[in-house]
Amino acid sequence: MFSSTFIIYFVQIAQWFFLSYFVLLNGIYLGLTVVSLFVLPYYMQRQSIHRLPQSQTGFEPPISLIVTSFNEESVIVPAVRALLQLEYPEFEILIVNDGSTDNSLQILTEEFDLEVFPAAFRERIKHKPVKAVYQSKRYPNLRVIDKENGGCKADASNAGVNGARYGLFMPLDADTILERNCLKLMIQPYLLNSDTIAVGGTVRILNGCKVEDGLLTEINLPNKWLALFQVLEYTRAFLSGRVGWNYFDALPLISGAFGLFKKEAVIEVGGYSHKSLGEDMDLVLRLHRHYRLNNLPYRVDFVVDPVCWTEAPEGFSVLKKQRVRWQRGLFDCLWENRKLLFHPKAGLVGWGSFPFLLFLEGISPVVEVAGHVFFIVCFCLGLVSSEGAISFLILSFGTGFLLSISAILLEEITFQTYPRMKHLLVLIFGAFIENFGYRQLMSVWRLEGIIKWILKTESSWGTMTRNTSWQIQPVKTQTLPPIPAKQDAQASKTSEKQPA
Amino acid sequence: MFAIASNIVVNLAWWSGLSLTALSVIVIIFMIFWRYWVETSNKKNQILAIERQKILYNCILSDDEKNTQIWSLDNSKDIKSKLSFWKDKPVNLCYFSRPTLLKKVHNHNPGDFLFLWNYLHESVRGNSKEKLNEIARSISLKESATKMLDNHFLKNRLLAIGTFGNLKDETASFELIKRAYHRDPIISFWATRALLRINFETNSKRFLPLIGKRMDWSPVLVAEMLKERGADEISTPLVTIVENAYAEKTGERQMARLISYLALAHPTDYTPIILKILAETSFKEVIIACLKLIISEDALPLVRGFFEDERWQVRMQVVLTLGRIGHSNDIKLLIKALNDLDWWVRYRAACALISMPGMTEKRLQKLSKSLPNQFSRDILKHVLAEIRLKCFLQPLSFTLSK
Repeated sequence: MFSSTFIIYFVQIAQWFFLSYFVLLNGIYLGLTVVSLFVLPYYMQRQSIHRLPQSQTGFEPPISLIVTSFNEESVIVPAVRALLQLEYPEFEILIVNDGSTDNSLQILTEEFDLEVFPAAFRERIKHKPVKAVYQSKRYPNLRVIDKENGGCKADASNAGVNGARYGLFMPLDADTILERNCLKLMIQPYLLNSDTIAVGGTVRILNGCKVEDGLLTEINLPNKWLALFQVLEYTRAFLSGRVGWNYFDALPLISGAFGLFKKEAVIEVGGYSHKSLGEDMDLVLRLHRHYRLNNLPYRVDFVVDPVCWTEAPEGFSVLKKQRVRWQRGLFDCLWENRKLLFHPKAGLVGWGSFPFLLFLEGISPVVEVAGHVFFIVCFCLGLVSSEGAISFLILSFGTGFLLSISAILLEEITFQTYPRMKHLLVLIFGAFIENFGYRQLMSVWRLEGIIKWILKTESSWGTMTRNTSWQIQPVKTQTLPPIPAKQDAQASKTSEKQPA
Repeated sequence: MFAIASNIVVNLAWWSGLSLTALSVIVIIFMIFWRYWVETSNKKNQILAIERQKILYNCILSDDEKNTQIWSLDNSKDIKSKLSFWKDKPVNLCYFSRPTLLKKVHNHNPGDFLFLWNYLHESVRGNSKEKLNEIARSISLKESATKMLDNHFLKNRLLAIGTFGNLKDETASFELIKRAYHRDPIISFWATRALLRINFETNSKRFLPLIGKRMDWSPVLVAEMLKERGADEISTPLVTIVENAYAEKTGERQMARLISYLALAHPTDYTPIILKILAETSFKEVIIACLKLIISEDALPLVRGFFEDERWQVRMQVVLTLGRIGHSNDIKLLIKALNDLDWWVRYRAACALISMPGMTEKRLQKLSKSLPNQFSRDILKHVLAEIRLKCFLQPLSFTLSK
């Protein structure tokens, strides 16, 4: 008698817990989406006026682009050539060759006429030793830092920050593709508010698109389901999540692939952390922590229209490793910056986005997997009626579907990035399908990430298979600028990603 | 799950799930219709845009230019290809002969027409601007702009404001003045720019000082606005603004930004106030902004006074200034700066040394050997290598230009 009463109470408490958690989590997601629905159209209107011609004034702050590269011989040349074509008055490109074991350096030397330069290298933040600095004889704004492998992207980025000449820097991966006007757009928050210390932009999935000589020539959706689901995830994360949190001045993350930072602010907080697997989020949270807790004026901003394209994993094993690593990285960052949590001075970061990341986004895989297990067990024990089961499934599906559909809606009323009606229909179909397996799989992988973070097991970055066709047009090696390009193209091969 | 829960909870979950799914379906239907509508209207607008571009293009360019130049607006390849098709045709769509056609293309979606008209206005100079204004008058563009001043869409409101500025229409001043003090920085900036375009002499006294008060205006846009007027027009009012701001003890950043705009004015006009501020202020950013503008040798004693400043940014700017205006007797100071604790001061000192009169590479190498520490030797080597690289690049570009 006592045990059956206990079970009933336990089940009742558990079901209310799962239901409340579910409502809270999805309620916040939906709330952020609603905020974006109001904010984005207005923002787009403001931005549309920038399409009018503007002359250069010399008041635009110069920018250092830091490209970290580890064994990227197949893409590094078109990537650099594409960067050289960016529309901005003054910028430099700093490639950090992080001890590549392939021919990256040799290829760069041949293509850009590099010469060893006796640089007085200034080490303000720690990283592995620099072997040499190269300067292009053809492009005064192109340099290469050749350093020993630091074992993580943070180490290479720190070397880049030390070597950067200008006050603002943008860390990039060798395989990311920037839209040509993106620097002009990214700089806007710095011009409008001198307290700005970091700005993030939108990242999109490159899979399925066509790239010629490092420039995006045709936008398409990926033809693999896994990549398509990631398109939806990225759309949700950037158009809904980031825009929403940014509206409340509580943006917790700027993507490592695409952000613009004030160098002195980054150096002040010690640069990128070698310890964390999520060095990008860690940096942003440390910036928040430093500025908030010291009562310093600052602004971390997000602008939605500068776009960077990057390739997403299409295989289960690489995707799994990525998600496990992200989840571990998330907990690394939250743990390192735990002082922010409910700190009286931490504002909406400490009382809004940080607790959201920890209690909702962070531990949601635990609750979701536990909820599913609980649900199945209860169903097997007859504690769940068929009506109750169907109701819960409908609620779960309806919420997930609406979140994805509203993200597609945001995309439709703003950019319409994917140009054809067919693309829209495929995205809608993807939003429907992802609720049956993909989301659950992500929860399981993320749970694995949490377990590994608790157990402190070794992590690896996995091998990224490059699927996008990067058509490279080789350049005639000669000593005179500019570079006339030959027409023969050569497809890129797969390359290994940066190791942990 | 809800077997032991009340029916209310089950019902709530059931109806919530169904409602959310239904809402998703409604959104999907909306998106499909929206996409269809956008695609259809885009097709129509593209054809119309070609017409508009062609007409306006023919109106503002001379006959020779008509056959050699095509406007490259932010349109699709499709439009460009259609335009290039038109380029070879002997068309005479000048507005004098086709006023009804122009009126027609203007009346259909006037917002787009205003955008194109403003786009061309920002792109062309001199007589072409006047031709565009003639077109505007012939089709009563002012009336469209007046209607759009209170439009729901911000873009249209801004275009309307911009149109009045480009038309130099004084009758709109009252409406623009209201907007010049708007709390939205983009509206207030556009209104101020329009007012200055309409009548600079009258409006500059009242509205130019806003550049010192509105820190939320982009300095790039402000600089563009000032550049547009030219140094002759802006020098005196800008110097007065800086003087007043200084007298009113304006904040450090605001003051530094204002001083930086003086770079667009005549040095003879701004030098006295710069020297005065430099002699009196202790704000880092203000000192740096002043030092950047100094070109007079008379300021050398004042500049040298900041050589030992505890802030490295100030010291760096001092050596930069010495490199620009310094004498040979400043070489000692620059050599001393090569030992500075900060990398940037050492680097700029090395750059400055190289630009000093009588500094040859041989002399610098000799100097390098005599330097007491590795840091200063390294930085000099670094800068020498940079100079060699520049020397390497310059003859190449010269060859290329020949």
